[in-house]
Amino acid sequence: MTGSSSQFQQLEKLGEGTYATVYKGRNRATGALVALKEINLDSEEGTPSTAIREISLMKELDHENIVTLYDVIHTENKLTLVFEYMDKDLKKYMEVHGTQGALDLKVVKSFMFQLLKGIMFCHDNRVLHRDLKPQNLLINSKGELKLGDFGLARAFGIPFNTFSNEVVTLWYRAPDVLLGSRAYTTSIDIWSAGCIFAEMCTGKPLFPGTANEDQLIKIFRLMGTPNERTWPGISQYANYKNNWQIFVPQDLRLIVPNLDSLGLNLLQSLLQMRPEARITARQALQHPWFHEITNPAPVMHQLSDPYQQEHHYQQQAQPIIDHQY
Amino acid sequence: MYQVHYPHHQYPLHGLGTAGHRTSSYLPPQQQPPQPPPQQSAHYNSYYQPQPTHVPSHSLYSYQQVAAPPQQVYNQSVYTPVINHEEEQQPAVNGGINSVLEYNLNQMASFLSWCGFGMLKQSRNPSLEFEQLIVSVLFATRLPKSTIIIALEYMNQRFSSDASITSKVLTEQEIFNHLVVSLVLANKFNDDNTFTNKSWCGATGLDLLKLNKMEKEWLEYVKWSLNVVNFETNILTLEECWKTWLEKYSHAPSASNSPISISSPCSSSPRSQLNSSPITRPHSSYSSIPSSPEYDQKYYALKSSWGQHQQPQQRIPQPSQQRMLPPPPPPPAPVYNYSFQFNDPAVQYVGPPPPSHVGYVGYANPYYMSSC
Repeated sequence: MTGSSSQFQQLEKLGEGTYATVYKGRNRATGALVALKEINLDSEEGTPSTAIREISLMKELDHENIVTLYDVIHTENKLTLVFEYMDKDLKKYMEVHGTQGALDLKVVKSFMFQLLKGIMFCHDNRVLHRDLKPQNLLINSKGELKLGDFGLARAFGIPFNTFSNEVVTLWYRAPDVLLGSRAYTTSIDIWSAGCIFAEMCTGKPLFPGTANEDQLIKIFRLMGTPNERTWPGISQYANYKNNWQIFVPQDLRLIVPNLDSLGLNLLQSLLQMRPEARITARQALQHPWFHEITNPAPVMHQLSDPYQQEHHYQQQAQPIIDHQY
Repeated sequence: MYQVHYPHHQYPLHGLGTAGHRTSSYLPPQQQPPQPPPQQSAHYNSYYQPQPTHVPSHSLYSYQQVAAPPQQVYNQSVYTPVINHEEEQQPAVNGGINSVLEYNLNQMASFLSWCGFGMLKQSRNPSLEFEQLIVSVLFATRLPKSTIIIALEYMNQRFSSDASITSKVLTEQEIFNHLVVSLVLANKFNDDNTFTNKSWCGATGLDLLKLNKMEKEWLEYVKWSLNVVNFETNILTLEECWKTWLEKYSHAPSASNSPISISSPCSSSPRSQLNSSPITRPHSSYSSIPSSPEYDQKYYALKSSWGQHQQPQQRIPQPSQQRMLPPPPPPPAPVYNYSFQFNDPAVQYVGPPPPSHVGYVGYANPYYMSSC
């Protein structure tokens, strides 16, 4: 981590925010493309905590489904993070490649599998990402999906630590966090993965809430309004109300009609209201919906017959053949 | 990553000096403007249109008044799909500011001072003024205990191998500066609510440019390796030292007229049998947890003027009255040495799968080598 900015030729701008600007860059020595995340340092703030977390956590997360941080260039008034180059984020990918945003199910399956692998690696290394959403999932030309943007990530496992519940972009925020939980753990990222799953299938966000309470109601409308019977202990949450409108759980099939029943079962497992009931990333990767990725040979054989496929998966519009694995 | 979307709200933090912004932010929560009607989910054209966001018009933190009893003061939630982990502060959050502290300020300040001196291998006692300064910093920042413990581990990581600093006799100002930087970094790494460096300067009297420079140098020295997961064993040991310290001082009988002969809070031996004050083992890669200060009545009298956290029964413990811990087994060889290895994740990762926090490693840790 001793780079100098002259090593890289700065190309076009890829994105901009209040905290940083991302440029495409080229390593002058190797010609390799990189992404240069430039953070202007504010003297009053000092080194931003987002940068401190992003760098200290990402430099240790070496995994094929996590964007690689190559280098950090720290000058007087600018901090540049050199990342591996990725073509676009998932949000953009859906806009470009989706049918009104909705992706082909075989792509969804591949992306979900890679997303869950990246999440599992984070969790195994005791990092919570805490900001999973399409904009933070990056896709390259090989169809690889990688987790990026660890500015809100946090190490977990330190005894007695609690967390802010103002994490995760609202639409992808878990109900327990919306209810005010500060003791959340890995299940916070799993909920987000479920929301992203549904969004990839339909092309639209699953729970596009406008505010904390509205977000909860949108979730209840689909998942049912929880109570002490369905979720023991819920009344202990800070934002619990006893006068919520009562909704009964809906069939997810109505919201994600193009997804087969195994996929719906996985989605249901990811979107469990109670954090303890939510599936883990490791369990999710073993879900039968991924069998054709995890056990390609026998399943491929089976799926090569579209009529048989039709028979087993009424919902399935096309054969699920994943060329990537 | 390309859609950079960091909290807008980080910036309002600027200019909020800790002590100052405590007061200035003690304002009633401002009502947010009414939300526009929720978008109909059927209108997918508006999918990903920017959602209404509200930048809170006042501090990201809500503070209670310094001397007020714990009270439930917090902002109305400000809603935005953009992450804003800093905009809301509810009571007892483990963020930069805890409305309810899980430690006694004076005790923690003593502990932090002594550990800081020890980790910088300064073989003398912190002055009363030094500890007072630390009290004031903790008082202003109200950092969670876990953050303070992490800061101490950062001190250990930073200085255990840097003889260019620790071989010198440092002034208390220098020691204080190092401790502050460790707290700044621990707060930024560990807490969801973080202070700006300007706020830290307000709380510590440090010069902003100097603090920025020291922070930058520190990050470069440790190569940004601040992930606490790698230091878990050490952190658990420090937690244990803190508990031991508390056992020595919180419950010690109050009657004492002999302020001189005091045992180390981290040692089961009377102080007189140890090297006095913060000890440094020349051959140890770890600075020891220092033994106890030369407390005297004046010290406590003075300290009692700080805040309401003082415990009246807290008095100088005597060796004969201390709770004896089981004597530590012979010190093990250092497990690893930061000087060569702390940047190598393979080595730095302490042990096989990290233990869950219940069974801390205790004596098997190098921290116990000298005095613990």
